[in-house]
Amino acid sequence: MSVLKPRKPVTAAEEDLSSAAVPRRAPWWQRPGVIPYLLIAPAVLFELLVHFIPMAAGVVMSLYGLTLFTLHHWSTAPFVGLANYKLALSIHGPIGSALLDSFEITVPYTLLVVGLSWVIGMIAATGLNVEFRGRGWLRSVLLVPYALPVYVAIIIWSFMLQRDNGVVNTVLVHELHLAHNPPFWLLGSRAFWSMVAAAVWRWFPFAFLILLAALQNIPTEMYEAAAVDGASSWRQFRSITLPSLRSANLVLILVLFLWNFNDFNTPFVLFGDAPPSPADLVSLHIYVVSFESWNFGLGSAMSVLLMLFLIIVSAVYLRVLRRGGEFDV
Amino acid sequence: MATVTLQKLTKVYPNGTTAVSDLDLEVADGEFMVLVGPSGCGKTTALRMVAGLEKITDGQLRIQNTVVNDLPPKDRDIAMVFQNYALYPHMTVAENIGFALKLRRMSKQEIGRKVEAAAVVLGLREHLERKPAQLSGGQRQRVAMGRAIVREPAAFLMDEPLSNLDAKLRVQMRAEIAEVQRRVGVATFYVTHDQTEAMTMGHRVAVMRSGVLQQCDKPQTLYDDPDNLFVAAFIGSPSMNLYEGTVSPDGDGIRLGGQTLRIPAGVRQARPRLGEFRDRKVVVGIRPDHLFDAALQDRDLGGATLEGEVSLVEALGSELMVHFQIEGARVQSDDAEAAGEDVEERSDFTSGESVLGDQATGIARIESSSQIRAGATARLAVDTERLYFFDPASGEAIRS
Amino acid sequence: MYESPAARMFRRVTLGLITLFALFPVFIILETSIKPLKDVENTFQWIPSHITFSPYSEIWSTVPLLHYFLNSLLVSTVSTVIAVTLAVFAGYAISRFQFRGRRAFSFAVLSTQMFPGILFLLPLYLIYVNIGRTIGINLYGSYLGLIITYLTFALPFSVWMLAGFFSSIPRELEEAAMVDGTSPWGALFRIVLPVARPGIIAVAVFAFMTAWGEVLFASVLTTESTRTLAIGLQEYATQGNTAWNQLMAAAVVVSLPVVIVFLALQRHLIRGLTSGSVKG
Repeated sequence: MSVLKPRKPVTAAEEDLSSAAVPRRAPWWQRPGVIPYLLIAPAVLFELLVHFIPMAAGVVMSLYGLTLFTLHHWSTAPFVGLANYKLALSIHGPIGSALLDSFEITVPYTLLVVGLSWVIGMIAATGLNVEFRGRGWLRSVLLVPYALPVYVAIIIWSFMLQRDNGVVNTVLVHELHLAHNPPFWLLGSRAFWSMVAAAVWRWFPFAFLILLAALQNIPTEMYEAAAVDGASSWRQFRSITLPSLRSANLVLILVLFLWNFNDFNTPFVLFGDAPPSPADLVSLHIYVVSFESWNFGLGSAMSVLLMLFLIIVSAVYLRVLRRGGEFDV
Repeated sequence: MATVTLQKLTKVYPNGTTAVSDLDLEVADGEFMVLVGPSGCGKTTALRMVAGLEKITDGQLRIQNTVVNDLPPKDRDIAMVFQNYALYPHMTVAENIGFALKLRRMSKQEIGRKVEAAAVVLGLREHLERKPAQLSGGQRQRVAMGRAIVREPAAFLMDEPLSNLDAKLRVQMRAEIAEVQRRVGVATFYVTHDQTEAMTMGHRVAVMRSGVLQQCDKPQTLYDDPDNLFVAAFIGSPSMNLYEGTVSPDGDGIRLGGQTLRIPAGVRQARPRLGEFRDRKVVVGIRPDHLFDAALQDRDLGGATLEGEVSLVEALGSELMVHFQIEGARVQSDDAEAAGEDVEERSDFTSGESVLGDQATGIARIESSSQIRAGATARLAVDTERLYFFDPASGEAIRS
Repeated sequence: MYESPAARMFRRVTLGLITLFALFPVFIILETSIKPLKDVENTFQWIPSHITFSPYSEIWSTVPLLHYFLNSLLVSTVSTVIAVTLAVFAGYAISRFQFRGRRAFSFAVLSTQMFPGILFLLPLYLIYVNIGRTIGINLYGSYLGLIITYLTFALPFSVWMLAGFFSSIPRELEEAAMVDGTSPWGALFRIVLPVARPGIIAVAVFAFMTAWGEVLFASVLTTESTRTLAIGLQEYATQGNTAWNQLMAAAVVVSLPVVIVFLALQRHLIRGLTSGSVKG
């Protein structure tokens, strides 16, 4: 009950005591100037160890003739300057032309996967942004492909696309009679499309998830105002939804592009380390070059080229589309 | 149990802006000190420096006799009520109120008793097990108060604690906070932009502007005897009418546009300095309460009336708020405008800039029996004994 | 919201098709996992000749699935716990403190998303091998190496999302806590973390999924004894004749934990993403 009582006056002695008290400063680890650095230190440490030092090492390695013979005595590997890069970029040589082929497959692959995933994700997200019965259930269903581990998602497609016992050929050949001979989906040029299908199935839910989250930030009043003004559904989508999703789309498309351009899982799980050439994505190609021939110097040079390409594309993309809009972390 | 002393307290942000400069204030034990001013005047920054949430750039802060400039908030023995209450959403009301005590390793029973006592004072007993999200605005406000009073701290700091409440609740909580503070008797620093809160709650009120203390005194003194134009315009609601006029050559009258107000002999004798302003411009202030409908006055009004164009009459039942305009007397000082920035009622000052040209607006609080109507010309009687005068150059009140 | 009949029709038809697209492979995996072996060796048939759960019992002996499962569980759990802890600290620093290097740090963290995995796979492999050889800390082929790798993979996304989440929590909460008597660290642990729990859960789910599904680094950095599901599952396929019914049953078993957790927490995920993308 002491809350209610007026506080008793301080005696002179007490007053002297408190004035004599030496104020303690906060210990060093509680000072505002120190705290943020303590907070990020562990993250910086691991990022350095796993991301940045290996990346720097990769750049250095690309300048050395690091092959099967020198790998175990890597410090003795000869410095070869840009020879690995020359090899990788000489489009008339076997290595350079193979890399170029792989690159020419990866570009359309990425564009198709990103484009289709975005379109399907967008349609699903706008469709689910309306109240109706079973909405929560449907949202869960559409997220299932993304919730599955990547390799499981791809293994399913691998099974569905089997020539002799896959469901796709059963439907095409035995039920719809669209083909006489069951086609090979995992060999030859169709392998490319199989890969695209599997990747889109796996990635559209991610686009859906991000876009749904972004859509929920658009105030309903905007649609109501537009509807009162007489805007059609399509008009509302173009004039309200798309502009409001601009910053979400900016990040989403960039991230999808980077992840898919670097995609290793899809071809690796579908085809192992011997993909048919129409499905030879760049990451897998470099992996095969490095580990089949144990030529790590060459593999590193190719990786550096891949990263440079991605950095340039990202920078141009952001420069063109960002214009004024801030979106750093 | 303590005095809080601010000595030349200064805050300069890293980007070079000075938020508070050389603030001298002393809050005595048990005193309710209100820090008031328009937004951005540095009052909240001053409070946050006292709390330890903002680093003090220069000057000295003492709680009782200890310099606490470099102490973290937890070691300053102060309690604070935030504008948005800052209740911990994952804790119940009881846990919110008892959190500080728990941190001080008080026993469970002890905490329970103190929380209970505070809840009784604040009428929160039925809500102790609820989460903040389940409470109304007024209840949250009380929890925030409870969190402060269980501490029995050296000082309370309150940062606009009522600004998130609706008008009616605000009036009620105003009284409750003042009452709780009186019972607990702890030195209190209360920040607000609302001059009504300042006037009704504060034992003393410190008016700030652009980081500089303008005047610190009892509410009535601020109202009766403002140090400068800014304080005059800021304190009082509706705020003081301010006009620019010229003192007549013989000093016994003041010309406002085409009209002349007589300055009574008593007023002149009390302010010999007014003589220096003969034939010069001066700002004259008239409180809305000191204007009357001339038609309802039976005394001699010679030289104590103003005629104005009535633009709007607001009937409040008990009285009328008459908005009027006077030709050629607009004040060219930004002191008055700065004081009015935040408050709707004062928007007339700022709107005068563009639309009204040389017309000065004013408000009179008139008996409801008056026949004054919008669109007509009104003759207003002025209580010339209670005029305020200011030096237009410095904004200082002419009081001697 | 008003919707024209044509728009509603469009919405229903497209949603129906997309749902079919999303669910069909899931149906296949479930259906195949309860078929007898002879059904999956020949032409695909919709109706199982008889329903059997024997694939679910056989999978454990065909391949040391339990061993791989436990490996994955260990590596994913430990790396998630560490990643979330570190991301909480770093995200808090970014959202609450102005410090020299803040922008550089956030940019560096995000830029790692641009690195092709293949670029640092090779050097990381060599670095791990060499650390083992020189210092004696065995990172190549060990749980530790994989844990360190996966926790770092999860960090950038986690930091970014948590920074957004923390920024949506009013700063006054911590200030109130500090006035109440906590140190800045106390305010973080006693107030911010409990309040940010939904965001932290969301990040943990993503971190766990990252580790659970990672293929590339697992294929290089694991050995027989530390092999994870991502690689182990392929052993059903590489033994000449694939027992698809077992492979699908195994796929169901390894997916179930993550799918259940993911779907159960999807609301948190959407909220986490929302506050992350609004302001960082």
